[in-house]
Amino acid sequence: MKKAVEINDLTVFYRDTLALDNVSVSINSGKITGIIGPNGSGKSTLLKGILGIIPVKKGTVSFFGSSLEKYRSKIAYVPQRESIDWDFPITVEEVVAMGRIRPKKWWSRTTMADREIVKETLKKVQLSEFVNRQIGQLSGGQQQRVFLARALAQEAELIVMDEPFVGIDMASQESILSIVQKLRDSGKTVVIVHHDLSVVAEYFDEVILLNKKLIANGPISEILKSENIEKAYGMTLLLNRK
Amino acid sequence: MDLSIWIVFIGTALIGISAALVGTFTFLQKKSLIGDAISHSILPGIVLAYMISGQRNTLILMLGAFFSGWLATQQISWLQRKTKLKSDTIVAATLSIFFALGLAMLSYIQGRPDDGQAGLSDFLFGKIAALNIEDLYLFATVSALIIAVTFFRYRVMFSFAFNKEFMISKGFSLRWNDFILNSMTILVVAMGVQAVGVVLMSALLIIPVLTARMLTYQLRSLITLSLIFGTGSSLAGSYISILGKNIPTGPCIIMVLSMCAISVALLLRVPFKIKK
Amino acid sequence: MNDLLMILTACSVAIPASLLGVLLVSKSLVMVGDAISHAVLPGIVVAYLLSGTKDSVPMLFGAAITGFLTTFLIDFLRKKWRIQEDAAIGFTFTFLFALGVLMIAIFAGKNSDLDQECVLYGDLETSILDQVIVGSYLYGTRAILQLLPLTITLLIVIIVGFKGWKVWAFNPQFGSFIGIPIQAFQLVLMLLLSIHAVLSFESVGVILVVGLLVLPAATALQFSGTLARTFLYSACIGIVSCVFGVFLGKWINISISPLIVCVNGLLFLISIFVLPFKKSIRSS
Ligand SMILES: Nc1ncnc2c1ncn2[C@@H]1O[C@H](COP(=O)(O)OP(=O)(O)O)[C@@H](O)[C@H]1O
Ligand SMILES: [Mg+2]
Repeated sequence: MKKAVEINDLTVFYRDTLALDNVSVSINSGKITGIIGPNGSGKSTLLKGILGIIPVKKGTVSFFGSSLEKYRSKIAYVPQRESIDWDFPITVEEVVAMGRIRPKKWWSRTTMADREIVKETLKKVQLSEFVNRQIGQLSGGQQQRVFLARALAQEAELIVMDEPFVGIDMASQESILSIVQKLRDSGKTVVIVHHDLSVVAEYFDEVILLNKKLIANGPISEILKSENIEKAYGMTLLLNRK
Repeated sequence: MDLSIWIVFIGTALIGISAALVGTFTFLQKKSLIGDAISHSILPGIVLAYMISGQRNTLILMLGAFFSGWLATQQISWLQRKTKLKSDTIVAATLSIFFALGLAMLSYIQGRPDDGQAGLSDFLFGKIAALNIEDLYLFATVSALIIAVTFFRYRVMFSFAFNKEFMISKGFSLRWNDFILNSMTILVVAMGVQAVGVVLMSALLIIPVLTARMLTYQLRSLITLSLIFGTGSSLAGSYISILGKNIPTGPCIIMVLSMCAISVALLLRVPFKIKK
Repeated sequence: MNDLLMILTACSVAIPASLLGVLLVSKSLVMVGDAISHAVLPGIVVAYLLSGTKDSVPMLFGAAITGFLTTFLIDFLRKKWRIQEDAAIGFTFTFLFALGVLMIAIFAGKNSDLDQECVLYGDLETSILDQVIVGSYLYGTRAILQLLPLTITLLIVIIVGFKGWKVWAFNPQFGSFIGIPIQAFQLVLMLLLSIHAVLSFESVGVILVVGLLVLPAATALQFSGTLARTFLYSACIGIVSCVFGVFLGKWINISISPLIVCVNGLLFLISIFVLPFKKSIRSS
């Protein structure tokens, strides 16, 4: 199978504290991959590390065999909701339009084509009526869909989402999952960070269990088998407690 | 006579416009207090430029100001990388070191018998009436530069302020963005201290956008309103300070600005978040 | 004699500042401290205009009121108006400071002893001329005698409430959980800060105060692990800087109070340069 992302020996420090310890794992293309681990286990750090958002101490990452710099324009990143300032004076439309900014032509303004794409994606996530709302004035599920729309507007091949199911209603969760599945079915690769194996796990094709180190990875059915859970024992304890 | 009044008004308007523009983005970046640090930090640069050149030439003083303002931002980011101190501590430490250095140097040249040093104390509280026509050309150039950069980069700067991790993931350079914003802040401050002085310059950056923010959450109107508040108050403030003989310009402008902010707050009464 | 008096006066400002600074730094309240030291100005001016003297009692009231007003205003802007902290602080102190400067410019006549420049720099050199002599004994300068009670109060407050301060600084949720009045601690700190700002503004000016607050504490933090040690080191650094500042100022003949802050700044920068050495000492 084609590898979408190959991570080798990734090690990340925040000053003196080790957040990721020699993680080597690969992510298959055309699948929904879940990255699972308790709070503080370095899931967000892993995403930020592979996307070059934070400096890494050691390790290499490649995307479909090429470097991050070459592949960057095909990656969409949905950050964790805690990192967003919901009082920021920005409207739904402006958030989604961010997906159309390109580094190579930073002087450009939004073109008509961009506007069209923004409109389309807002329709896909059923937020057309909220275009001019300030983002703080939406429900949690709507907010998460705004960010999904931004990722869709990027027309990316690889979509990376950090805890998209935290603090949202069932309906939004369903609609996000169905969009994600559509993306997968059209050949895109989706990576979703989540903090436990319940609820949404059944939607993942493959999982990566993480707790500073790589604990296990593979198809969801295999990971759920007892020996693997035993292997990851310390961690399943934590997972169950959640 | 007539001409000098015009110079004052055009100069103040230029300062008001540039400060409101740059202030909007420092506000969005939540870096308003870095503006404060920069405005205190340019004092040693101004004094040093005066000591070396021996004259009060606005261009030379602005170069000095730019240099020390730039050093201060470098020190801030160096300390952020090198220590575990929180950013408010770092900002305050940088601010006080540079400002103390500036005051020490100021007291050194004031101890010397040569003239002209009185003009430097104006930088502490600002004295807009000291502007001449050459300064105006310089101000116009700097303002044009700031307006141009804002015009071309506002989307990127705005997006960075909202969600920098996303922008980095798209391949934009955080350092470059910070550099541009810092440079614009330093330029505005170097220009604005002539009107409002080192101590109150940060208000000219903060208050217009803060007032505008109470009224709107949309970027376009935010920029427009803060331009209106910033420019209007600067003009009104400097007019008042010219009318009253002994009143320093800086505090005058800041009072007008604050009054605007307070009246907007009172008029709205209901906090803006609660409005639908 | 004069040198000694000057060092003592400087220390009487610097010691409480460096102690207060530790609390501010550990709670990320440095810019609030800066705001208060600016914002007491209108309080000072009103008190001066009403009482006609620079006598300390009305001034203390003015300070306490403006100090509270500042914290209240910052809090109000943040909570009620949802204005981000940096802008709320920036607005509050520039507004109050501008108000103070305007009042000086308009009401305090040319011949008053309250002028803009002295507010900015402060003037250690003239503040030591204000000596308290009873009989034929010199008891100290007015600044020393005013700041000494504050320092003693501060020490008592810190020592008696030490555990409380620790909780307040590092674990406030836990504090309110076990019933420590976290809010009260904050208010006491702000009150002491405003009083300190008023009593010291003649000697060092309102802007340099923040340097005396933050720099010794930040330097001390580089070397010490515990809160108690940080207090101790911070005070020591404050004193050392005063001694050096005074002699340096005498030597090159420039204003002493900015120099004291410069020495503090120098020590701070040095502490960061030697930081790696410290680490290697510890690990070996
Ligand atoms: N900016 C940071 N500075 C210092 N430590 C951090 C920072 N971000 C995260 N950490 C630490 O790194 C570890 C992993 O964090 P994170 O990747 O956010 O975990 P997760 O996303 O799995 O909850 C945590 O212990 C966290 O405290
Ligand atoms: Mg996370």
